[in-house]
Amino acid sequence: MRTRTILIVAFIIVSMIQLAVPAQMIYKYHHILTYGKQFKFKIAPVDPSDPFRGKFVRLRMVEDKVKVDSLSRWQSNEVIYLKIETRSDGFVRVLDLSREKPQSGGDFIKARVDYEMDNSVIIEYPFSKYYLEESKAPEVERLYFKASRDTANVSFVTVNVIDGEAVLKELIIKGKSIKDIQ
Amino acid sequence: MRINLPELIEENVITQQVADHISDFYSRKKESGVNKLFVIFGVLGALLVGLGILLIIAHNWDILSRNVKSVLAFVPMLGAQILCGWLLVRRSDSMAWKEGASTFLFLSVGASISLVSQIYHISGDLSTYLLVWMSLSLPVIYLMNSSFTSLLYLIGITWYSCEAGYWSHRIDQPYLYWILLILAIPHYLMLIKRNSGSNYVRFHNLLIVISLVISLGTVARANSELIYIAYLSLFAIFLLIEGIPLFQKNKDHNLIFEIAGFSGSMIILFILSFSRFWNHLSTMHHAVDQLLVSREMIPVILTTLIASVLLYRNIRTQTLSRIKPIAFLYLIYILIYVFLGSMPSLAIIFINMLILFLGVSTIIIGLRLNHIGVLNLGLLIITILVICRFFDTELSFMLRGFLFIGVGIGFFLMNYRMLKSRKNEN
Repeated sequence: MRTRTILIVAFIIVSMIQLAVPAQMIYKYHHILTYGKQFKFKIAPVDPSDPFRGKFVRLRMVEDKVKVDSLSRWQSNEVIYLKIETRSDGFVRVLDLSREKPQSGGDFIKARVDYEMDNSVIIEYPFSKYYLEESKAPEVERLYFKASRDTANVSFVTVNVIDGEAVLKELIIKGKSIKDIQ
Repeated sequence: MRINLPELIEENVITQQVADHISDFYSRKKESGVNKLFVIFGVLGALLVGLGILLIIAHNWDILSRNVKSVLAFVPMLGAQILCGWLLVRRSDSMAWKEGASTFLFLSVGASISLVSQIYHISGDLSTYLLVWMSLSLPVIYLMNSSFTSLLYLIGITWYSCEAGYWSHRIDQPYLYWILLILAIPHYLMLIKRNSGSNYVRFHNLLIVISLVISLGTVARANSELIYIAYLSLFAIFLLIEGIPLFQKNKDHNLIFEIAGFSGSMIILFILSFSRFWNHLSTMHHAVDQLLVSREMIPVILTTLIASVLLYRNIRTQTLSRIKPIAFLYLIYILIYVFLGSMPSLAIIFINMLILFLGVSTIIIGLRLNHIGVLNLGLLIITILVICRFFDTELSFMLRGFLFIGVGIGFFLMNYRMLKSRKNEN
């Protein structure tokens, strides 16, 4: 009887932990989307052979590298903090990067080092995928290709940020949100 | 043999009591067969329903708001938890229900996390995801006493070690794999202890062997040549596993260890029989103290220690001649590595002699046991050795031709001799 009670209590605790993991993820991202400061990142055309994997669009930001001095070594996958500001055209510009979380004011985003090349760090943003509804994938793919050929068209993503943590909000192609594409 | 129980009682061959025992035994046996089928269908059903629900949610319905989708991500997991909890409270003994519900819970834990990532467009890496999923699923194995979940878990942690150790473009060291594996071992040992005859033991043996062989390679980095010692010691452990009392219960199930140990050792030995490895080794001037503190040294020491303890136990419990020569291979290789590492040509000759010796000794064992399979295995070893040398030696075509003809005739004669002697015996 006692072992069964222990077993049931243990099971309840395990279930709580199992539920807590996705719940904590939802809370964190929901909080950022609701209260975070919004930024716009211009997106670059991606390798046309591989923009889609399953039901997501692979995104590449125009601002994807930062110049660094030749003395500092940056390891692949290392966590970095990017100091950012919004330019006059409304899009984000990356000012600087650091290993430590910036303490003074100013906006920043937590990201990772993809790789280092020619005194530049290539950034891996935590928002490089945009998941779509399965049925919309072919239409979005067509639109995305068309837009990437047309340089006058500006495609971008909106991202909400709190304390360096960023969550992707919307993907806009030719001034139209992906959500509104039928 | 058909047994007519009433007739046997009538003729006073057996008593009524014995007849009751016999019919009890067969009805129980029949019942366990039916139960097994229930478990298989239960698990299959849970797998299919679980995957089906996942695919439907993965459609990523835009009609539903982000909040509704977030709530939906919990539904399969909550359902599976309620089902498992109910089975625990009701103290259900049905293996089919327990295994089915646990499988469903295992899948739904992974589903919930991936669905949340999809809803919020999180591009995290696969290895972290697998790590979280497996860590959250581990307690299910013990709480529900579910061996099928344990099998899925073994597949999951192996996938994690491959993803982190081999496949990811940022190769990492999956240290946590070893901890996750150790945490699953108590269930495996309990399974052997309580249910040594079950198929679950067989599948666990198979998956553990595959998982270990795949994941050991993730440790190899700068001093990767050391990993060959670890592999040979691991294969020696497989060959000597019968030295552990727990594994003596059902020797049939050790076959997979024996096959893996033998073929693995031979493959490594053949790799080492080429000059490339030794030439490379002799050009590297590793300082001994640097090698001793390298991370490859940890698995080398651990596997070699375990293999040596098992070898010692085997020698103590049975005569030396009964232990297969291949079980000593790791010790011989360590000696060659230490003393002949800087002399490639001598090391290569030794390794080739070793293969030849193992081939011949296998043929002799085959002849002694009158076992045509073992005999041909020995001949196969020698044939592979000849083929390997065909590619990297400077021997003339004439000599190579004669070598092949010689081995071919050997094959024919050995088999002919054995088959003839069998015929004579009959």
